[in-house]
Amino acid sequence: MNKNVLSLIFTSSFISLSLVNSFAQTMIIDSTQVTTLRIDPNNAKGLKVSQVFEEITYIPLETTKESLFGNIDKLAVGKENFIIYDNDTQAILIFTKDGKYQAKIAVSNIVDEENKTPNTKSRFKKFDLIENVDSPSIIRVKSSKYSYEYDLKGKEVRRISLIDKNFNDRFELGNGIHAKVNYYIKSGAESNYYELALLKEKEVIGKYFPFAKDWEQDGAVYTINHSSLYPKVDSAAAFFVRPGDYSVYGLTNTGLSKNFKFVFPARNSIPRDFYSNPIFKGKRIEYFDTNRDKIYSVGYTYQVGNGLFFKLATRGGLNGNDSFLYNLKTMDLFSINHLQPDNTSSYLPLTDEGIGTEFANNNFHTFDGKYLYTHFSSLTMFRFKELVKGKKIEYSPVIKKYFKSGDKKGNPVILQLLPKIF
Amino acid sequence: MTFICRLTGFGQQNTASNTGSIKGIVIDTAHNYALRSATVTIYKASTGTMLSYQITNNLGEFLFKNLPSEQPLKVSISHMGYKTLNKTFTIPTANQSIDLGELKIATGNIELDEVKISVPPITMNGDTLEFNPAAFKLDSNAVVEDLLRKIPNITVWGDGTISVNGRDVKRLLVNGKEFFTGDAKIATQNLPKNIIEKIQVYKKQGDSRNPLDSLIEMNLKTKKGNENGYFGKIGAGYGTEKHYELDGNVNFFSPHSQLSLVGAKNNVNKIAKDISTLIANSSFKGIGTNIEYMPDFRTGGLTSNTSGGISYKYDFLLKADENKNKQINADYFVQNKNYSNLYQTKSVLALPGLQQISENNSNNTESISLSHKHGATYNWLRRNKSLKLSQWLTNTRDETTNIIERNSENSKGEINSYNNTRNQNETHSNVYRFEMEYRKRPDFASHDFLKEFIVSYSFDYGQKKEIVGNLTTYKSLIDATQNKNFDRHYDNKSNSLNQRISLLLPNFKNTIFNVDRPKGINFDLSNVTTIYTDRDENDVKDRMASGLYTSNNYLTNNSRYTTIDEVPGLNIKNSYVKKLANRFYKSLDISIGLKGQFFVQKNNSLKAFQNIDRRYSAFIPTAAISYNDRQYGEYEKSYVLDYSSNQTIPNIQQLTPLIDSTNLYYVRQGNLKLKPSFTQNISFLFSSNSLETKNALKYSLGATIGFTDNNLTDSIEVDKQNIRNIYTVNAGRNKFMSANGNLTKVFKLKGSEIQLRLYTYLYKSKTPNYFNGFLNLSDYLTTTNTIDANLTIKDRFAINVKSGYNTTRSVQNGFNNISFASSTFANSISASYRLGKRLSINSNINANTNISRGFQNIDYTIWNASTTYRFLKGNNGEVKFSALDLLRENVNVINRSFGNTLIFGSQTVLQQYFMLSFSYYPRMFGKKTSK
Repeated sequence: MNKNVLSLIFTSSFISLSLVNSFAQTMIIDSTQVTTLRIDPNNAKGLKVSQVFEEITYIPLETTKESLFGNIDKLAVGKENFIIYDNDTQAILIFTKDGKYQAKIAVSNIVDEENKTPNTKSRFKKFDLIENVDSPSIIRVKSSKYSYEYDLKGKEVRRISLIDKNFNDRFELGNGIHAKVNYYIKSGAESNYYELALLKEKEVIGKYFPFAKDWEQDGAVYTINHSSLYPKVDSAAAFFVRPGDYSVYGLTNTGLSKNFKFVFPARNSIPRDFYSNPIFKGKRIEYFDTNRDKIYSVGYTYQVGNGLFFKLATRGGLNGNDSFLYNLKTMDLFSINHLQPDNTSSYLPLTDEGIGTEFANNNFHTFDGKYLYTHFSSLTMFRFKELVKGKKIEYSPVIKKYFKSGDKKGNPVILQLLPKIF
Repeated sequence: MTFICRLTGFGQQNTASNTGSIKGIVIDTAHNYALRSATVTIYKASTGTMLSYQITNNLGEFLFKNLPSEQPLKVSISHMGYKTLNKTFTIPTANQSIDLGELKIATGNIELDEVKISVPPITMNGDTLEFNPAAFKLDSNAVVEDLLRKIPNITVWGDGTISVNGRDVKRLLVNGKEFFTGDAKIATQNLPKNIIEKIQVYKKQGDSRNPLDSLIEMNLKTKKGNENGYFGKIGAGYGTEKHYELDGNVNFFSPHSQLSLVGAKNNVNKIAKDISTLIANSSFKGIGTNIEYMPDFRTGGLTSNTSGGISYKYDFLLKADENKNKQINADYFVQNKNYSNLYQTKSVLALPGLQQISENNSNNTESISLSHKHGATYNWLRRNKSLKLSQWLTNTRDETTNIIERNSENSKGEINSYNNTRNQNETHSNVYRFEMEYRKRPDFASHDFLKEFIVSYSFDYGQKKEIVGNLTTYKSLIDATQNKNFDRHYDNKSNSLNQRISLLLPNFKNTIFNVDRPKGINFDLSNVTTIYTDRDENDVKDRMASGLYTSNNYLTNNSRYTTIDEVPGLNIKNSYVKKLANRFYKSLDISIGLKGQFFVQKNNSLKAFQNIDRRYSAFIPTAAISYNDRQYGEYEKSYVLDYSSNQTIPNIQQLTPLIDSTNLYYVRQGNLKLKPSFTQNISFLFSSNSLETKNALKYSLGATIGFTDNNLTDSIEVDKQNIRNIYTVNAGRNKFMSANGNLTKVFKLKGSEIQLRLYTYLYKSKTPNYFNGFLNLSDYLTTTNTIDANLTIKDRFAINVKSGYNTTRSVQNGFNNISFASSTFANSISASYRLGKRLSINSNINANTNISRGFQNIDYTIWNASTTYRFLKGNNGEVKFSALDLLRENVNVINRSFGNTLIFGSQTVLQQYFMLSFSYYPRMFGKKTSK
């Protein structure tokens, strides 16, 4: 069973895409400049790692009794640090950019209210890393009552009472404007949920895609269990993606615009009226379970120059070929899963199909405007080593040391990848 | 998925001294990438014989070692959606390694001719591993099991279990469905290899709450047009001593339906208890070696048996899975048995004051029974709910005649009384059972108030009519006034009804507070109510001196016995998990069950002394701690500590029976002072499973200790004439303990396989009882130790060696310290050898030694042998000659002890015979007969 599938279990979303007969006025989405991408996953080509990435740095995270953790469930990349949330140890861990352990914040007592819904596993995963030019960076964790703020040494510096019940992803867009997903608005006669809201301080200045909170029996839809917002090169802009919507939206502090429209072969596409036609009512989950090649979500969208990275989510995992790079200029499609290892990756594979499940589960965690980040467990790294046994490979001193003194039970290794500009 | 990935790199490798190696990388030129999971097969270019195969690794690479040098070889590369690529090469000299470099494979469909030339033996299709039977050259009459034995990494165990890389296949399906009874052997030993398109092996998620609980399933996908067919066996044999055997079964299958017709008649103690056993014992089998199933010579008595049945299964859905299923099963089975046995024993009872009483018993039983059984089940399943409805109807008619001659002798061997009985019994009974179970499982999309529950109801109605004639003569040589003669006639009728309703609300906290899988304490609520009523009408008559039967006013009775058993329970549980991704997963589960039992017992009888109305209540708690430690890629260990308690309530026969004195050697008396007994058990189980894929080791150790307070035991009053009055009494504390160990390991060697199993069991108890008012404590110790090894060499020779050593020791502490000790050595060797394609020889030797202290050793060896010849084109014909108990040594000794009683003797058993039998296996798969 592909673990990719397992990780893409129903997320936090109590999202229903059932049409809401709402009187709420949603903002108009700019659809004047949409690029249509015709994507046939079966026709993605392979490349050598060095044709896609300028450089790849392997950063083994220091393993000590104190720093030992399970998995990187969320990765935030700061100026100097990696901030990691690990669900196994229920901790936020802070490492330096060269993998040295700094500090740890125990968050097991902080309840993740957003995920505390009747039917999903209550799993804390959210924290925000807030970095300002003029003040020290802070890590912000929210419970239903408080917003806890920690410094990069792991010390609690502030605790603020919260009135706002919207705990969800917050994305800073500059000019004091930020975006929030799955936002609840109650004002006057209005009481509605929106997939996305734009806020200036506490004032809602834009709201998009209303949905019913009281989801119907089969209202749950599969979503990519990661995020709806993906950072762009310009740190004050993001891509916004939605479950079941084959479009990628661009978000800035002035509003939402449709950037890309994906068109897939019929064998991978859901019917156009999938979420509105009553014949699918009560049968949507079953539909994806049966039609394992049907795409239910586009995500992990990162753009570097003319290169657009993305992942297509299906129940079947598209035979381990679900992560792509699209050249917007030449309209060529490349498979990330099939990149041929070369000197740039020390001849180690870039994805772990058939060996581990990290790439299938995490893809590229994030993009810091310059680098993409992913990770492998030490178990996978040592399996890679076994795989290339007998080849004359000149590892970088860091990996050499890691393979020599580390073992398969050590902490994961972060990969920092610098994409080529197409 | 790793269990599948580890299949990469294995192969059937050659180990000649002139060997070399090759490597290469498979490139998809159209897409410009290395192709992983492609199948690379090496053939001898001259003959086309397959030498080895592999699946390319994550980098698209392959490496074969130990390939023959100095001869042309062919490498064939294939993958779904690609054209097969063939390349011939030669390893020029020994120990050389050649690099084939980049092998470019083109996309496209496999051409039909290519399929004929070289089919890849193994294919990765997503997460499913597929074996392609066409790639394995086997005799045209081979069945699926023969093929499975050919595939490295697959083990077919002696008991039919299949494991892939050390992990057991939990279910074997044919075209996605259970095949007949679900017994894997029915599919693997009957379906020809040639009708199978592919064998698919995949992981199926088990309980979604336990991420480590995934099951391996195997599906046999038939070639198009072979979804329908039939198979079976019709056989007849006749032998010396007028022994005969007839059996037949035909099984039809189609995508929706499965139908079995079975019939059997024999007088060689082959008693099939149901349809599945009959089908399982007459599979076609293929060309491999199988240890033959032999009649059980140790079965007591001689039975001639006629049985037949029909079983039908209908699947409403063509594609059923764990989220959707709808199925109906119905069967009918009729069995007629004629049984005869002469059972002769001597039992020695040690009594206070160095006395002992021996009882010589000769029991000659003849019985005829006819039973009809019907069963039907309806199964309905959806994503989060399921319904099961079942019913059974059993009708039995039994006529038994027992002629029992007994006498008792004192320590000096002097006979002091005789007790002879002729008992004629005719019983008719009807039992109807209905069962309903509805389950609701939690579903993320459900908004219902009760998200999870199991409710079940069952109803048993029984009707029994018994007519008994009893002629008894008791003669005392000590006291003639005790002499008695009975000629008693019983006409008993009973009607019983048992109803049970049970409700279980697991994880009740989630249901009530609408929280899902929260950390911390959770609760299961349960309640089981059982209401039982039994109406008895007993009409007993005695023949008087006048020759007329007169009603026995004491034993003639009408009664109504009712019990209500109410068991509410609250289970408090907590679970702690410690895990580090890709390193370990440890879990600790603790639960405490607070259970109460409220029991009402009521008897209304025409006899006032039998009218009781009692109420019992007890706190019967349970507790469990389990710890599981899984280290990725290394091992999985689990530890379980369990406590349970229960009370046993004395029944009406123990409390206040109507005393029938026809059997003076055993007169059951009542005791109204009886209290329920209370038993507490503590058990521990440790098991370890290696997660290595090669030569995996599994072992387990377990132990149980238990105490019964107010133990319900017998107080026996015996007089010199062996008249025994038995009272049930509450006597102190009974203690017992048991321990067991189990180890299995399989060794895969070149072309052969050894399966090893060790088993040891120990049971010790201290039981109080009374003899003539004296308290006696019986210490009892028994051990069972078995080594079982199976060796198969290629598909020609199979041998099973089994060695067992069992001991029993019983020591009395009380009025004397008499002890009994006995042991049994049982060694057996079974072997099967195949000569050519059609002839096979089977032999099995079972050597036994019984040692009892103070008695002469009893040795006997049972040697059976048979030879089988298959004929006709499809091996459909079979002639078999069997020689059973060649040494004529089967004596079937009875030798056992309990408490302060030792029993030894013998009974009628099957003895030497020879039999010649012919069988025909009708088989048709798809449109034409399989060849």
